[in-house]
Amino acid sequence: MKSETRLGIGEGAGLIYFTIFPLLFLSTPSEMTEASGSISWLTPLLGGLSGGGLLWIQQSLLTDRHGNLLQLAEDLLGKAFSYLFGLFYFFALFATACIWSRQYAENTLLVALPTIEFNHIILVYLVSVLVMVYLGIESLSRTCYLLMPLSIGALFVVFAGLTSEMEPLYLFPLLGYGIPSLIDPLLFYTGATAPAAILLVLAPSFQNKSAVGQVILFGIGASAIIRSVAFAVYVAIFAVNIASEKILPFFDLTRMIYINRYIQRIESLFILLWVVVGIVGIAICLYGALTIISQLFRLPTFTPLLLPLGIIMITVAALPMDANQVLLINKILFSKMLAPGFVITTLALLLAAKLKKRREQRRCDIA
Amino acid sequence: MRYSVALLILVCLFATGCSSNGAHETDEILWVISMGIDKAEDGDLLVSYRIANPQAETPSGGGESDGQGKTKSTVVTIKASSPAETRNILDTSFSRTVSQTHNMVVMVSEELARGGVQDLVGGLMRLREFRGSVTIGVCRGKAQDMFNNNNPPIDKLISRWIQNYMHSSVDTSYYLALNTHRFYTRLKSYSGAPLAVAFGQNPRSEDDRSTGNRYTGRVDAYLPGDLPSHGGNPIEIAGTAVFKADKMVGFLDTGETRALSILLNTFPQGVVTIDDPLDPKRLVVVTIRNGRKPKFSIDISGAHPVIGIDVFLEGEMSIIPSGINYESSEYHTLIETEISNALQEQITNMLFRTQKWGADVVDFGRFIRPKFWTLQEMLQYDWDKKYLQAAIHVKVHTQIRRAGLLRKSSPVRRSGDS
Repeated sequence: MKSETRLGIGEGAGLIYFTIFPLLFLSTPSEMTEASGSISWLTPLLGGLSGGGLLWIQQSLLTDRHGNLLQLAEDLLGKAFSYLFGLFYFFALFATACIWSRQYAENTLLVALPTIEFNHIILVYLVSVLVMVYLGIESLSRTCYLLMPLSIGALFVVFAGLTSEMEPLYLFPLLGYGIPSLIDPLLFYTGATAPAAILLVLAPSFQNKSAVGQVILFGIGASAIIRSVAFAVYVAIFAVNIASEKILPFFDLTRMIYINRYIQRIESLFILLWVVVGIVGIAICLYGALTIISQLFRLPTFTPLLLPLGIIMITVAALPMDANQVLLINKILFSKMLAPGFVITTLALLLAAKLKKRREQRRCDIA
Repeated sequence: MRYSVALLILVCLFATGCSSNGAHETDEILWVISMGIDKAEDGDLLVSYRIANPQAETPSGGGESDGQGKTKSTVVTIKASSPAETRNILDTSFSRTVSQTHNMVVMVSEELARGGVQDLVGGLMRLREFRGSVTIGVCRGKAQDMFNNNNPPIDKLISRWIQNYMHSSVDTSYYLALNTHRFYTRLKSYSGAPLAVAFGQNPRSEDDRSTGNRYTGRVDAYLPGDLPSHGGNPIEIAGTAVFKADKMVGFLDTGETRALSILLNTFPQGVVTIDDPLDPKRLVVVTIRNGRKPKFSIDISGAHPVIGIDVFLEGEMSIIPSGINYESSEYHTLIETEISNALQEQITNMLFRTQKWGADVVDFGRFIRPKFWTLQEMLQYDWDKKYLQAAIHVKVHTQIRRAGLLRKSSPVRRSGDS
């Protein structure tokens, strides 16, 4: 495992893309449609704006300084608060890794391997994730870089295969359940963007700080637009009521593809796609959690923590009693825990930076 | 390189077991290719499964046997309180594991469909093996009889029979290719009547069993099982079963189904037979198709909705027995008016009949969606109730575009003509 890494814009965009994109293959489209109705396609865009906006603020504070997000927090908030700050982002990444491990393992069992033990499936996920994390951020980010166009291409193949089933009028009434119904999805997506702060922890690996801004723009932008299109297609095919019922919207979309008698039942091909995307997403989150914890406690490397934290991850993932409880925890985690935390930590940094700047200004004036 | 090869081999080893069959070999699975559901006398369900035998490949005349004693498919009927329990019994009766991943048809008896299918469809849609592309149908009579008597002489396999049937629905539009996804979407959406394919068993006798509805000249309309044909498979598909919510309310005959098909824009081509305008003893046959997507305008500003329908059809002369030169532009109008009037009447009658049932078969309700800002406002409007009072105006235009391979018709020389 390398300690010195160099990342480009494409790799960074891929990295940030895969910290949010895996949500598309879970129950999120269905939950967002249930919350906001036919306007659910707007929720990823709003989430991208809010989450991306917060990341942008953090990035702009980082631009004039050395180091990464954690050092910035220490610089602006002091040591004690910077620990809290770091622990919050550790929690955001680790909790996301846990909840995704459970959901992806559960969904693999549901659609592909119904007779296999859940423990075996989650173990396979763990091994795959551990290998990816062990290989380091460069391999991980290059995997993202390669996988990003592949995943976008695969999605458009699915959309093209479903054009005959689409009814654009299902996207009306335009406001769905109304503007207030967008608040919950907005909170959810803001919280779901918090793990993307891993990018700012890795900021020194980029050529310069302005590259980080471009990465946020491309990564969050691409992810939000693709998810928005996917939501629109999903609602245009299933209509609001059925779209709110599904547990695996993307799987159900792929099951609908019927080109002719020779090109049908092709969902198995896309199962591979979402499993790979899930593993990559979990690996990024686990890598981020390990990086933060090792930096917080000044550890020279996180390698010894890799296996224990991985085992803790799947143990925590296995705690919820049933699939509905997992969905509820998923909602609470992103909407009620990570969203407020993300907003508060960003505003705290912004406020501290302003105060510090004013103090320095005053000092200069006195001098 | 060595690591890559080792990884590839490892992946192959695991991937062979990673199938949607739950790591079962193909010959360990009992492949259900169609499913028929009847109501038993005591209130239980009678579920008939047609099971494929993939090993028997070669066809033989007139039956589902390979000529070596192996049947290509077999029908098993099981009585139980729920479809899930019948599946358990089926699994117990055979040495293999039941799979419905290749199920192509779910057929429900008319009696059951009229009582409501909510419990059945909702349950099926939850199953991993079941997909929205499965054909859903209602049969006149018992599904069990349909399954036992279905013996397509031409198609190699029963599964191919239904696939071919659905693919060729566009040839005539006397029936529609309808799947469970569309049925379920309409069942749960704010508007639109669920529709299902109509199956029937034809005694192949010479009695006239037409519905009595005469459309376009001397053409009769039929319900499934009543087509005036002899020989072949007794099981046939014709017309459409219409539901209001989850209960079936009636069948559309072949003519009404074609009218519906025109409005649903699933009418790529079809032949119409009309009386010859200048020689009423004879008929004229024209191939028509939708020239463009039908235009719908819905005005909901008044107390009752007003629905305007504008259909444009394109035609091609097929048969003109009278030999009158209808290919020339001055005679075109006669044929065009005749077709337009006939189809306008056909569409209006179909809509009038289904409106009385309270079934919005075209799903006009979806066109009111853009008129509201929120779903709550739309629900408050209550389209289902309003549709019963809607005024519907149908306008059909026809334009003869082509005349086949003949440029001009000329009369046949009669005896006595010089």
